[in-house]
Amino acid sequence: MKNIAIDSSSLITISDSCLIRILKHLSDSEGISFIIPQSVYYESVEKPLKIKKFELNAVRIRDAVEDGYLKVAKTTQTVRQKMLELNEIASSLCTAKGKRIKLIDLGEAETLAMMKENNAGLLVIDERTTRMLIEEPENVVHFLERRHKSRVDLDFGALKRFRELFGGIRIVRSVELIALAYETGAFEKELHKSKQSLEAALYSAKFGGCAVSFEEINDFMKKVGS
Amino acid sequence: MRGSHYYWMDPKLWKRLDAVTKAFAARKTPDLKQIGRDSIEEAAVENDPELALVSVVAYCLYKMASKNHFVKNRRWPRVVEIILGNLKKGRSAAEQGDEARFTRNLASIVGEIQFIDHELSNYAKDLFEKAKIKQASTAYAAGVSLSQAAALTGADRKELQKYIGITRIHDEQEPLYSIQERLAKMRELLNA
Repeated sequence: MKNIAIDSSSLITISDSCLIRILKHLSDSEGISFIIPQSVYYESVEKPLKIKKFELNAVRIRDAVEDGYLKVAKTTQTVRQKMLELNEIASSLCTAKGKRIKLIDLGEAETLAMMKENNAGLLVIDERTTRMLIEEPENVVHFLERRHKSRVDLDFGALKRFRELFGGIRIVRSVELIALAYETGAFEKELHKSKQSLEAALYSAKFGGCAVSFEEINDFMKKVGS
Repeated sequence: MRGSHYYWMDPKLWKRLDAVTKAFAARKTPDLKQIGRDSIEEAAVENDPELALVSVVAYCLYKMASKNHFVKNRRWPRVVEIILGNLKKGRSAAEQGDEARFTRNLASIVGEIQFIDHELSNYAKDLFEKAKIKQASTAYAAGVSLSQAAALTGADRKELQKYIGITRIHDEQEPLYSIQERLAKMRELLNA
């Protein structure tokens, strides 16, 4: 089995799009074990189960856990320590006007922290900032400078430590999971296989909050065979 | 709340409250909107929940002052009076470093916003909750993560994600990898 971690942003997108069972089909066909940390389970199941508006989605995710294709990883002492270390590093990476910019919250830090402990090399995350921080931290600085029209400094020591801890992580989003499901036949167990249904699913993910642009989806769809 | 004396002596917070007070008293709605935006962008960089709250309040006041069914209501002058009174008291509390009084005054403004909104609005979701989401989306656009943006204003994370999904925020950046490239990386890992 190959372990793939899922951040709450992607779990929400996939579940909201009624496509959570593609995780089951991918798990069966590709030998993937999808894992989430305890805090994501709390945020996606335990808390919304008490809110009528979000209850159905929470039930879907709870069913996925009960059916075994989505696993909840324990937050061990090691994970907790790593989470706090990551939170500290991430908070010291960028400074503006002498003040540290707190880029990520403990929720995102926990997902990253539990990855090594659970031997997961791939992270599914729809949220943009954490993804940028892992893949292109220098660009986070340029992005912040452009947005805030002021100088932002990068702490290279913190960056080195961040890269040592999380540099090897590969990232995909829910749109790539949907595309993989389309390729492998997992998708057609939920919807008829057609370009239209694929495109609709990708746009549903985008409108659900996945950090993907119209241009990216259009470019991808041009290359999909009918 | 930070509780740091240095922080509470920082004039930025009361200067912002002054600006909100002046704009609301003069019903300058574009100014209120801009103060809300500037405040949340600054709050995002400085991880400042008090400034984020000022931003949410400014946005609510902008929305209310822009709508005729609010401003033409017979209760409106009294609402304005209560809110202006609390803005002034909040400003004074911030200036004096009295965190508890500042929090009480801001809570009174929020209470007044929620009360009048409940009385006069046609929407199920209240204005204050919508304002928390709207301002958190600006914080996210300014560079902080989804969870961090939600934590800053107290917005529901899931509602925030859905709101961001219908904005153009994710269309503003050049992607590092295309969908095809990420898909190829995933296949490579699965086949390893």
